[in-house]
Amino acid sequence: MKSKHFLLPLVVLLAALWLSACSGAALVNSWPGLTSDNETAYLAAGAHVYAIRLSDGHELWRYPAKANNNLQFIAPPVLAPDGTLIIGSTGADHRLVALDLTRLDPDTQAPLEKWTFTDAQDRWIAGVLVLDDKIFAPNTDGNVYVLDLTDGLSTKKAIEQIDLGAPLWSQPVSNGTLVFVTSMNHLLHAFDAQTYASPWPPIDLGGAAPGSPLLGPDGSLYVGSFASQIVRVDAATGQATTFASTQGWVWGGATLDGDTLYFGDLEGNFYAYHSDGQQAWSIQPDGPVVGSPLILPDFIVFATESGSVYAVDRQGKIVWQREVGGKIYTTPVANNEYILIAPMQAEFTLSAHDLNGSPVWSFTPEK
Amino acid sequence: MWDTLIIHPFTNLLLWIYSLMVNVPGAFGWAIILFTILIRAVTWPLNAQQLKGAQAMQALQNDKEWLAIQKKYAKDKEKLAQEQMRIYKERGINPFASCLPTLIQFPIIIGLYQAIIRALATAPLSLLQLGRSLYPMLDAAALIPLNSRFLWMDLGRPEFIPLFGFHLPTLAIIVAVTTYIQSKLTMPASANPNDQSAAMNNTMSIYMPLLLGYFALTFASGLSVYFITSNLLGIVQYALTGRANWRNLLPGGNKAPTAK
Repeated sequence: MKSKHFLLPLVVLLAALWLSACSGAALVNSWPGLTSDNETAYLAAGAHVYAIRLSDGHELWRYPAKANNNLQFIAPPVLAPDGTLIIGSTGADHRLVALDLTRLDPDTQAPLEKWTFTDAQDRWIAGVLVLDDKIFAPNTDGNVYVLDLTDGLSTKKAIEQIDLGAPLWSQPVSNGTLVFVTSMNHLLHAFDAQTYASPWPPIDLGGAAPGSPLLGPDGSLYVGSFASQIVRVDAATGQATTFASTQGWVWGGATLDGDTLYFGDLEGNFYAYHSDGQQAWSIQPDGPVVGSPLILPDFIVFATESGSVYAVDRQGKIVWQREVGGKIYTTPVANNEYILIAPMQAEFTLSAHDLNGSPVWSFTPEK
Repeated sequence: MWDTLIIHPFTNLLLWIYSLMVNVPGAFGWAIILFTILIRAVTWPLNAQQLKGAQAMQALQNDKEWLAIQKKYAKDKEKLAQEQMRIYKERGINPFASCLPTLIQFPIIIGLYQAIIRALATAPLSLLQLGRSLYPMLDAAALIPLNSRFLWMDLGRPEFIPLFGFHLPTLAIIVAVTTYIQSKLTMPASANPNDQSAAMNNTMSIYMPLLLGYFALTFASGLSVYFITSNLLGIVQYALTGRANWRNLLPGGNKAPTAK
């Protein structure tokens, strides 16, 4: 009986530890956000945003210099024309921050914060849209916060808060006049970049749309969703039609190259469609395609959850395939020389490949 | 294995209930409440066995023969154990009957928590995983993402109510209080000051509210909704049996009247 006195509390304590271990309450586990300029890759991967020199994969700095449990980064960082890098936190601290890439802390070499915005009620999963002197920042609290890029404030206040009623996971796009953004409650929204008025009511896409809309040169929007289809929307009138049906859910946005749209689905298909809605071809890579394709002069690059990177020509022929490892969900990024791949659960966090797909360097953050 | 046997079925059941009331405000909160009622109904035989076992053990603490062998073999632990086992056997008492059902419920609590977190899918990777764990009978594309709002809460996050500059953890307090009430009500009165079982129950009635209150404070409020619903159902079910010991809620109320 005496031992039983302690048995239940002990079991309860073990259960508490088990529950704590599986909760994921403190950390957000998702794939990294990636962007680059001609010299540097910016990788939002967990506790830090890393700046990595493209020539050799060397870490230039990390923000914050010391990990903070309340700050987590998975949203794609966005380079603004004023020389800042804008990134939102997915952690408990719902901070949107602009890092001044021209002013580095002399001790840590990390860029100093130019401004922060802390009024959002939830996490940042999407990248922001910078349009002229405004920032359109979509948050998972369902609001697009409009900030003035030029007000000089170190603690920004929203000049407008557009409530779209559901979590926003995708980066908005714009045709210069209107801003388009999808919400996770299956809707595509449009509003005027100056007046914030909606030219047409939200369009039901039939499923959640975590990817960004694609804006075509003819003014059409192409939006993939969990309804296993791509919907084409006339940006001027809001008239929507089914453009293409897919076998699986479409996560990442489509990419347009001339007259052809390229996109993948979660059933492991990669498609090419002409803008008239005719399918050009489709192939079956080795796994689901989550990220958007990357258009290069000689081929189209996309990555699969199975950890492979494919280069296909415009006729659908595989030019090369490389097994990078891990699981790849992040859209590949390219600069002049390299294709950058940011896998999850791999031996490294970022790898650079030449245009033949051969690895050049890989980056693993030091502890 | 854990995913296949526990998390996937729980997640699908939750979402199936959710799908029946998807247009009701706070549908996911109601789905958790209905799910809890279902779990409570399924595990009712276990709970009944637990209560029965606890009461049998409690009754034994005041039994003359039991007290006699405690006294007689106080210095011979081996013989005492043999005699205790004999009494258990003769009276059909399983000494573990009271704690085994509690142990069985832990995987359910943990599975439910993981199912809630998975169903709410508040990050891209978890949404991807959710899509893959749903059975074909559910129209997943139409259902997800779930609306996590319920009353004033976001069920995917710990709950607080801002009050005079403080964040009051309302649900955590309710969880702790209802857990305390439930454990006190189900605790039989004891006249024996050396009653080990009563001592253990007393310990648990302090540990459990604190622990579950801590869970509610730290984890998604959907789990708190489960705890509160489960506690209230437990209180009601036990009260309906007519054996609820309401005096236990008062200080010093767990003493049984001594025979004159």
